[in-house]
Amino acid sequence: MGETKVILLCGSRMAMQVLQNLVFFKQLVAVVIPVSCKEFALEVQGLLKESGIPVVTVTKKNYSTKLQQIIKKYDAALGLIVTFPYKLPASVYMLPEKGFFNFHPGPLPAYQGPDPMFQQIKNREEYAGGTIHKVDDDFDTGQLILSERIRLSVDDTHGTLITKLAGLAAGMIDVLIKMAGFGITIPSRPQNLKKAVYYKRQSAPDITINWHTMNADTIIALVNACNPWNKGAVTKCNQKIIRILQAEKTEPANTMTATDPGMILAIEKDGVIVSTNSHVQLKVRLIYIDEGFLSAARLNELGFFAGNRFENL
Amino acid sequence: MNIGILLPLSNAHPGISKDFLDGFNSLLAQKQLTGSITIKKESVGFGGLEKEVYAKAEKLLVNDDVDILIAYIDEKATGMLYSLVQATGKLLLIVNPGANHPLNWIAQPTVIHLTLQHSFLCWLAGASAASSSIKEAAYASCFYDCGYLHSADMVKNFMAGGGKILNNYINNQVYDDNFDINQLTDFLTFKPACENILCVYDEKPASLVYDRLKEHKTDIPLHLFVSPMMLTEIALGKMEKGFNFSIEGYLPWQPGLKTENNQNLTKACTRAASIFSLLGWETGLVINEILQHYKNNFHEGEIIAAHLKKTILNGPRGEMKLDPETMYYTAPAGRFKLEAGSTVAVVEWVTDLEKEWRTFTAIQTEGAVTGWTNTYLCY
Repeated sequence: MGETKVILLCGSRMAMQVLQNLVFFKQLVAVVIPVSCKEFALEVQGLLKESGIPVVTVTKKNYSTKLQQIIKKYDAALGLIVTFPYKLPASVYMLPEKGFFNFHPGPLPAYQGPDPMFQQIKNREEYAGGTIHKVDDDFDTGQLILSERIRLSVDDTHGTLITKLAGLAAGMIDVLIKMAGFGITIPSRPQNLKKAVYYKRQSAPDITINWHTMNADTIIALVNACNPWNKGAVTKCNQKIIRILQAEKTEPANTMTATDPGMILAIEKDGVIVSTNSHVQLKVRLIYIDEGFLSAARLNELGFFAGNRFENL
Repeated sequence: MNIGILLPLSNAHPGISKDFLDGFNSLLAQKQLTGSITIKKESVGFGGLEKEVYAKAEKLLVNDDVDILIAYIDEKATGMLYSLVQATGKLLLIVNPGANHPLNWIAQPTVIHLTLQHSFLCWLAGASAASSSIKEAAYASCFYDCGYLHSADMVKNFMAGGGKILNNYINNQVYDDNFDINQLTDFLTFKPACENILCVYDEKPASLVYDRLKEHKTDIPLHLFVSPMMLTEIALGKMEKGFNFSIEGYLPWQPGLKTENNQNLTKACTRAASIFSLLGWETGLVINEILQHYKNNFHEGEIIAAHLKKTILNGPRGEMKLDPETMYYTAPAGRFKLEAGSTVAVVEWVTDLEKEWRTFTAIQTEGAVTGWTNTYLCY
């Protein structure tokens, strides 16, 4: 590996493998974490305790000034972002000699925005992507350096996708840093902004099951996209909010399904059978409710029965 | 069409680049394409220096503005070129024996891989060993060969099929008359019930291993499950009296393969046909297909790749199909079996390995943190 000194700006476990690689290759000079990511900051501090590498927490008010100070103090030649919520001003991203780069956990320009993992799962993409791009004045708009894809399984949750993308990020960033060590201008290309789609941070309607318009596949995709960060996709039954964390398609045992979407058809030992807007039934296996993370079969104990209905909010 | 080629060096196989170009040029000459193509070549040494590989690729793609880059380099170095081909949009054809494979099989849209599928064939050999009634085996390789994923693929698939490795033997000796495998034969003497050996060697050490193993006396013949380079004529020698052990494995090609396209290759080449001239010839087939289909815009890598995904090429190995998911060319493979004491090997050519290929490429490769960075057989 080259001698490129790297400053890493990050805010989630997606950066962990990248961070470990940078430490292993003795390239990391400082880590910067938003003060709001307390647990992650503690984890990183624990990891770097013996290394002498500073872990600096920043706020929305002071991050720009602090970053300039740190980059200069540690003579960072390359800046890396892996899930960092603040937009960098030119006075920061122009400082490192070899540039500032962001790993975006989605293909660009098709999946701009703060949570492309959620959108890729929700949209039932066959592949998920990761992109390294140069940092510029806006989020996710800089020149593209490297794009790669991985398989996105129908079973992938938001959490498992983060794990997969963390591995992808580590490999791609390894290549980026090697190239930076070659002393070359790293090849890049502009994004085709005509093809750009910006997905805002998901709001309540995005995480709520609509039993009338969504079929079994789209419900399962939404359930997976909301697991674990939202404790599941949101629905309501008997005036109680229930979040579904795991569901799968099942063979229909009767003919009620097409006419009564959301109807609880049976509560079985291994899950709750629910009708959808098509002839496919769902088996809901795991839920989150005020009483806790429960097997859906335990809805019986809480006063839910066959004939009750999951409803739109 | 302007083509750039990155060529390798090898001490063990000094004719590697000459053979490759011989196969490539012979195909172009046969198709009367020589006048349609200009070729710029750069040497990338043994392929282990990523900076050098990158610099030569950049020179060809950017400075010399070739339409298509053919790179005889290892899988490990290819990632370094992705940003270049993504920025230029040009087609990159990676060529090598296939002893390594990507950790993430999902392909780049403009990067095509043409290999001898060594890791896949080793993986199949591992399955053959696992299907044996004896589930225990020794593993034997050398310092060089064990540094590529083909070795792990053979062992992992053996273990996935219920096999158990009893002994790992890695030889780090010079390949000369003093070469011995005493530690391995000592183990086999100590553990006579261990009748199976998984072996991964290049052809020269393979011939030495076979010779030394002949001297090892056992009551029950040993069974060797081997890598493709252990099945070449150089590895096996003249086999006048056969061996006192059986040999099984898969090979990508044989010079004497009796297909019309293979006879074309062997007749057209000006040097003795080798796996390297085969790769050159097949590379020429890809270029020929592009030239037959497109008259210009050869730098539109994604469009060309999309066409190649739909096209079957007929090469010396048989039908070559570009797997759309991995962008690797797949081809038939020969299931090789030589019984103990026999001088006649049976090679059954298997044309439908799609299911096995799907299974192989769906496996998540983990723990591959070390390994040689130079191209397999370039040492």
